[in-house]
Amino acid sequence: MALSTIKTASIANDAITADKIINDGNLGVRNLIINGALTVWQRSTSSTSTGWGYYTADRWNTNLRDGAGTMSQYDMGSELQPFIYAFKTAMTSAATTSPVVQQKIEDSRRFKNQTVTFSFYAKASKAITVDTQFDLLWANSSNATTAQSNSITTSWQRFTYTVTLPNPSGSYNATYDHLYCKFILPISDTYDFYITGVQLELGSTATPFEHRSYGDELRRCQRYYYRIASDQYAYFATGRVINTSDPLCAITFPTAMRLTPSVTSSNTATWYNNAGSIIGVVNPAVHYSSGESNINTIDVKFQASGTLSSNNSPMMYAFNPAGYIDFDSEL
Amino acid sequence: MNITSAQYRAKFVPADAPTPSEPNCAIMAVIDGVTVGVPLQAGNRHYAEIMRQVDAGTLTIQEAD
Repeated sequence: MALSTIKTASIANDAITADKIINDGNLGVRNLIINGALTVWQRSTSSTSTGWGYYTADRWNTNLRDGAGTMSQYDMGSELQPFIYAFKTAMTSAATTSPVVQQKIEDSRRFKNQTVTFSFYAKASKAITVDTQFDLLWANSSNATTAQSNSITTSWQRFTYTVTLPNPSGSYNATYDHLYCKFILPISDTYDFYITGVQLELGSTATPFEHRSYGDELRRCQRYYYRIASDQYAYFATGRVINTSDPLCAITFPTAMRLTPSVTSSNTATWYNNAGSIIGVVNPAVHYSSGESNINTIDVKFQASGTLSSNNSPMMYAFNPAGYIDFDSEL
Repeated sequence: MNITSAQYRAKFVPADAPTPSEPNCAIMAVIDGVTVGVPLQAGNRHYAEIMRQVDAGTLTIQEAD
């Protein structure tokens, strides 16, 4: 029978099993990596920062160690379509300790003693070896898998491997126990290293990369980090003057955050009330106010540089287009 | 994280509200040169690092103004 003549009625009820569907990779929401296609960059698209931190692409945590270089957004152009961006690590000064690009995945209970399959696309400016490794924190202790060596070339390749994660004893510690998924970069060398299409899935089969919409991926990222970037003159919060100087504003997050977040703001942001009066430079005045902040909303108290009328309700906006407020509950 | 200062921030308590059992709501810390409002919450990575440095004796949190 020609394939084109096969109708739904031609297929026996038990002919297509759940296993076949899974093995064919037709199920959604498989990828446990967030921002695996490097589409979301709320903080910045380029950074030279060293030391552990979240500097550029959402959810990706890095450390260039004692080397120097730039982490940046790489525009894929016509390469490896339909991927749009990759994460580029350009090591311009060699490190003596391995630089790391990693993602911390929340809640080790999902991964303990589980077989997982890791896949990613990578290339480099020259042939290098990059190790990949998992570290399952349990009872606040490290449980690393054997590192997997990957021979990266100047052409895009997809790498896949399956591993059973550790099964340590002890009790789960919700504060610290997460899964670390690491790219361990070479030492004593300079190079450019690119990754995209990073996927981690339960089971022993590497299915095609799960492409998610930008909006979907952004919401996932905002569980861990949310930036209100300045849209000059756009109101972002309404508050109440709790004395004669300090407007208190409640800001609601677009999605529930992992925990009550830390708050920072740009030094360059100056915030005004709706009467056009300067409220003050936020940094370092932004802070929690009443202890009512939680994963859904936060009270932020600004500090006015002048006198305000008590119980007035200022509407806040940023005058400086470079201003921002960050909310961070990263792992 | 390079933490160069830390100070508790007192809660704002409305006049008609009961006195809270915890008088502070956050720690204002300068971390890697940036002022960060840090909630008093286990699992927050900034709070965890502040308390680690306090336990190690390398950081002292100043009382709230």
